[in-house]
Amino acid sequence: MSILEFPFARNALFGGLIMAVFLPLLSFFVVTRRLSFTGVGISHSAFGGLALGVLLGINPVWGAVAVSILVALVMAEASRRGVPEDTTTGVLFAGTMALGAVLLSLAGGTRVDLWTYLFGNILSLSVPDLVLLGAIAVLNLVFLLLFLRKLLFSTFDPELAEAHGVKTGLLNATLLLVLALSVVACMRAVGVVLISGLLVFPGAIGARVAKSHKAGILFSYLTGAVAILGGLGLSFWLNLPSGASIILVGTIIFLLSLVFWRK
Amino acid sequence: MNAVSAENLSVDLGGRTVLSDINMEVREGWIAGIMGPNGGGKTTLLRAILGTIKPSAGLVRVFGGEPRDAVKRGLVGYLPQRQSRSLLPLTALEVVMIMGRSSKREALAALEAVGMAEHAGRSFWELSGGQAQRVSLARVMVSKPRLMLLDEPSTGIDTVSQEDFYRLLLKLRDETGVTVIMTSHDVGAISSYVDQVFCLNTRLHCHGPASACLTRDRLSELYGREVDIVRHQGWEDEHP
Repeated sequence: MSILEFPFARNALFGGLIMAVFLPLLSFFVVTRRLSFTGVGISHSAFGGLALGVLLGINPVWGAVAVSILVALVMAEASRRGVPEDTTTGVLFAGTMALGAVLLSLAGGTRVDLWTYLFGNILSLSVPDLVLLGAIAVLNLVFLLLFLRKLLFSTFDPELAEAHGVKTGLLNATLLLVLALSVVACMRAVGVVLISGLLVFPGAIGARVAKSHKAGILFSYLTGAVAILGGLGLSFWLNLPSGASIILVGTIIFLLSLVFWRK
Repeated sequence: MNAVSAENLSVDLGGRTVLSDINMEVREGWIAGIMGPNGGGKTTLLRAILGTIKPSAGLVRVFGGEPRDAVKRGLVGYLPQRQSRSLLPLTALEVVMIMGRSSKREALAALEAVGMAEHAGRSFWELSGGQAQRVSLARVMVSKPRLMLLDEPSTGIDTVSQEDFYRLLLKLRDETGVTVIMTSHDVGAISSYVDQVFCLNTRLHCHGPASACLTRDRLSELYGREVDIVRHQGWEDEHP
């Protein structure tokens, strides 16, 4: 009997495939625009949102959506005002985690399984989770492909792009919003702690090994697909936590690229 | 016709007056050099011509119209001073095509014009300073602008590459009639290769031919200390 005869396994595979379709391209821009730490900050800020949802007695996902978007907007505005992104991220990263700890303390005992949101469980994906993931995937691809040329131009040189009429502030803010929504969509599958890995290593390898942006995007996709599907297969086979397996496979690919791919 | 004109142009940034009451004209086909000390407003003047900085007083005209309109119409090419810090993997050819306005054939022709066609497939980030600057110039040229704004184009490249770069600018101007406005700290280059010099330190101290402006006295007034001029080799041959 194949494992794919079980609905949970099919949902997990669908979820993995959807993530493999949109995350590598997003990751490519996160890394090449030096937003890796920003991605970590936004993903961890979702924890504060989850706690807010618990305290308010609503679905924690909506709390995560609200706080992640708010943090993304604050980061975009701070960047526009000349505050380095890593500075804002450093403050908001700790601030939203602290907010989460305080809010959970205020909420007292909770029956919500926060562990699932922190480290994810792709085997627990429901059909509504897949619908949300699919919708965010479409949003990602529409945005990234529609504005591909402007994203490349402003990634290469924001000042130059601005001079030639690209609204770089708006483009950056939209990218951070898409990033925030992607974090929330992937939260059930890999968790807010681990999603930052998926936002970084596909693009990091693509940017490292390629000479052209087309090859860079291709390598990002290859890395993302191998990590997501390989990690998922490994977790089925060895009965390991799936989100952690995906991130570990990606981390190993990244480390191998450091050893074997010298520029 | 004037490629660029400024009338009583002043720019305040962060409560500080960076440019004060600038009046200037750059005719089509000129190579004009803006020189002056750090913080003297050279880059700000280029950005005002580019339309990315709004004047606090006065106005700038580019080919008789608003700077932003000229940029939108593809009449202006810009080479910023700061090298990109991007991690984006790009070949030299992709850099030339980055603005999305040119075909591969046009981009290769631009690389050919700056002597970099054989490096089209190489990573832009692995090129030497001089090679990267030539590719950047090809990126500016590819949209066939009538005005090129070059901010410190010789920064970070060795003397021989600087000579080659300036000679290339002269050749381009002679072949295409393009107007070039460049900023530079390099008194020797400015004196050797430009038709008109603008000495800027918040206000224009002097403008005119290099021979009139780049005297020891005027430069000492501009920089506030004694300055010697070292002309680039070959200048005497080209400017008898």
